[in-house]
Amino acid sequence: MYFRVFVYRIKKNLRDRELILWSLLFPIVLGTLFYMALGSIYKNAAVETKSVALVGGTEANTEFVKTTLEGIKSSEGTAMFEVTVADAADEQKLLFQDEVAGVMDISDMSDIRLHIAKDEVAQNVLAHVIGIFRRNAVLMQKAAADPASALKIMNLMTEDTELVKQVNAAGENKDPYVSFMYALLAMVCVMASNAGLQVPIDSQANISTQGARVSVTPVNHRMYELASLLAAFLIQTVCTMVGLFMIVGVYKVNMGCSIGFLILICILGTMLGCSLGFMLGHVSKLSKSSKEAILLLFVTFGGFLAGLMFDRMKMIVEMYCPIINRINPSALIHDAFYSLNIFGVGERFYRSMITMVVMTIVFTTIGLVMSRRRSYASI
Amino acid sequence: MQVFKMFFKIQKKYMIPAIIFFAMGILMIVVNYEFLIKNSTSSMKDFQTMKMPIHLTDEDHSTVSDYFVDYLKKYHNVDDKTYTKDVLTDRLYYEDISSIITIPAGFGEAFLSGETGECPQIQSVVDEGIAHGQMLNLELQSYLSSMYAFYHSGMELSEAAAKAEETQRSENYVTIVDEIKEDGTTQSHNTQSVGGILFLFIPYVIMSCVFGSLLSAVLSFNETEKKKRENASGYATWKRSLTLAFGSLVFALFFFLMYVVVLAIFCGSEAFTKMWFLMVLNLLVYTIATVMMMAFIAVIPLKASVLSSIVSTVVSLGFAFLGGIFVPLSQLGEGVKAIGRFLPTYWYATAVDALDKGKGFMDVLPYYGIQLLFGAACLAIGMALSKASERAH
Repeated sequence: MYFRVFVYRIKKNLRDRELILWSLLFPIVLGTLFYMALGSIYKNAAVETKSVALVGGTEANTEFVKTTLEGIKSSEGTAMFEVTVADAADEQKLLFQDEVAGVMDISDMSDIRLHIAKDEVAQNVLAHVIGIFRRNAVLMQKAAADPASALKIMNLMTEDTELVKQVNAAGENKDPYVSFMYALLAMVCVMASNAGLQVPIDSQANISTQGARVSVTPVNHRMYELASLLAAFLIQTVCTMVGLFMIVGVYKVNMGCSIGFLILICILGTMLGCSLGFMLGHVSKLSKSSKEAILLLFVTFGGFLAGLMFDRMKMIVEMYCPIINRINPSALIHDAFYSLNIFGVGERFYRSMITMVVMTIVFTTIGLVMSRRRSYASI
Repeated sequence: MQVFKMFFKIQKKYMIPAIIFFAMGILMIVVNYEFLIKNSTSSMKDFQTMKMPIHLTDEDHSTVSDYFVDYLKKYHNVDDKTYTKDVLTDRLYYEDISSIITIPAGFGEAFLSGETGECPQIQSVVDEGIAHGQMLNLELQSYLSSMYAFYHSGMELSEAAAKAEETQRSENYVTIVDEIKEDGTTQSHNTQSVGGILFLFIPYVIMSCVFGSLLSAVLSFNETEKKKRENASGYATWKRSLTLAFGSLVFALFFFLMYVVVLAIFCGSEAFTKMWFLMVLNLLVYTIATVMMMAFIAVIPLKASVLSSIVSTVVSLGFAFLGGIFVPLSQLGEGVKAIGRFLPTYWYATAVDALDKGKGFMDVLPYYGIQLLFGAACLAIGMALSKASERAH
């Protein structure tokens, strides 16, 4: 009997073309847009070689500064600067047409000057390098004034004293823009609540005609709703998987964890979404449109708080009001993806997963309890 | 007038989504103001070393570490509050801070004795994949090695710290040059105003408000029964369409005005300047174009609730991401920009960028025009499709 209900509910869900279209279109379209717009931003923020123009120096000074600048490399070994020798009169052309990072005037080595058009990373690196030249100029003056300690001072100038130890940040994929993909998948999961909401609507006699028909049948009401919820969950899981396949399979986005865990999170997330809609469908006698508006709050505002529109939002909430991240379904799903990427399988991942399971059980139980002993004076 | 009144009666039913999106917009402005503008690294006419947001823990509390902490606090945005490791990792991942710096106990003592090879080094956790953290480490290494060299060359520690700071004070030897145009005027390439950041986000919320709330009300007039009743009445169809368009515009302008007031408060001294008014005009043009777009969207044959959800989420987010609203145009790839050129958001963002760089009304007029043209094209197509569908009935 209940298997039959399950099969009919699957058929009913499949015929709800608008819901299916919405569930499929959303991850495919937005996934594509995110991939197009955000795919290369992180790569572009990496250290890249910039041009620097040297003007006004003697041959020896130019060669010395050129060797020093070309020797500065990032931790990956990329040279930070490519040096050209130019004429000071060409400064405007160099800065605004050739777009060199800066024009370095080395006519006086104790007072090197830098002309730039923009205040960006490369220009700041150049400024710090000039700081080292200026330090050496001060030390040279000191050595000239105190010949007894000249050797010691010269050693200090050439000594490479490593006082700062650089440590790389944790994480499999450190691209912060991948969090938009997490937020997108989280939103797709929470959107399954629309399918969950449809279950009580189709079984309550005072809301839909189908509900009226169902309520006069000799079927255990709770079992009917559970079978319907399972059918809705199955269909929505397929839709979520299509979104996941688009992101991981087609666009090859590195989500920072294995596909098995991604599937597990998506399944639990969809289950949570369905149970949320299921509970909301039961908790009050609000109209269908009011319940849909409340779900919109969960989906859109919850998505916003989880970082769908502004990637740092979840972090800000974590700093000032972490309790919201513990109960916002979108943030929980997002955090499961994120914690796997950054910390791996550990305490934080388990916390998210356990909370998702507990919330699913609580929502479904509340829904089932609220569906008991409904009687209608008039339909 | 009856249709106009009815429109607002129906619109009342769809106020919840409008309020949600409006609140989201306000939250976006506050968050961007607090986290982007206050930590803004550039925008000066004179060069200043980039102020990097960093988290600092001083476990040493020695004289050396005190000088180092003072230097960091003077030239960077230092946060020394205690957070959990998870929060710090999150902040580094989202680039809210560029580095997590820890000064270990015993550092100052080893620094003074000259035995740095055996002492614990200052630890700086950065994302090595991007340039900001590495630049910061270069500066810290440069400052500390200068102080170390000056101190061990015979200076007092206070003098060494002051001298090291002086050699790092790049404003003494770095000059920002303005571009000299052919007509002799100059143009800065190094400014970003508060308005330039805040105005950029508003089209998304305007679109969400209009499509998430207003569209549902407009679509409800297309319901078969309602339409049949209207057709049976003596009210001309064109009058009805015009009244609906006017009602939509009034509603959208209400949101526009609310945001203008909020933006005026947040922009502070930048508000009511020529640039600010041109940005407001840009937003007004965009709002009108969005209302025009609705005429096209309203003819798509989908259920009102589904259509309004799809459009308010997918179209709004899509336009925002491809048009340079959430991601600055300068960071978008050429392929994305090529697609973005067909969207009004791209021209809106281009106008904001141009105004931010000091360009005037005549420079941005074409961008206003393109946005309106886009809206007009949508309106024309929407009306043609609507007419064709009516004839088919």
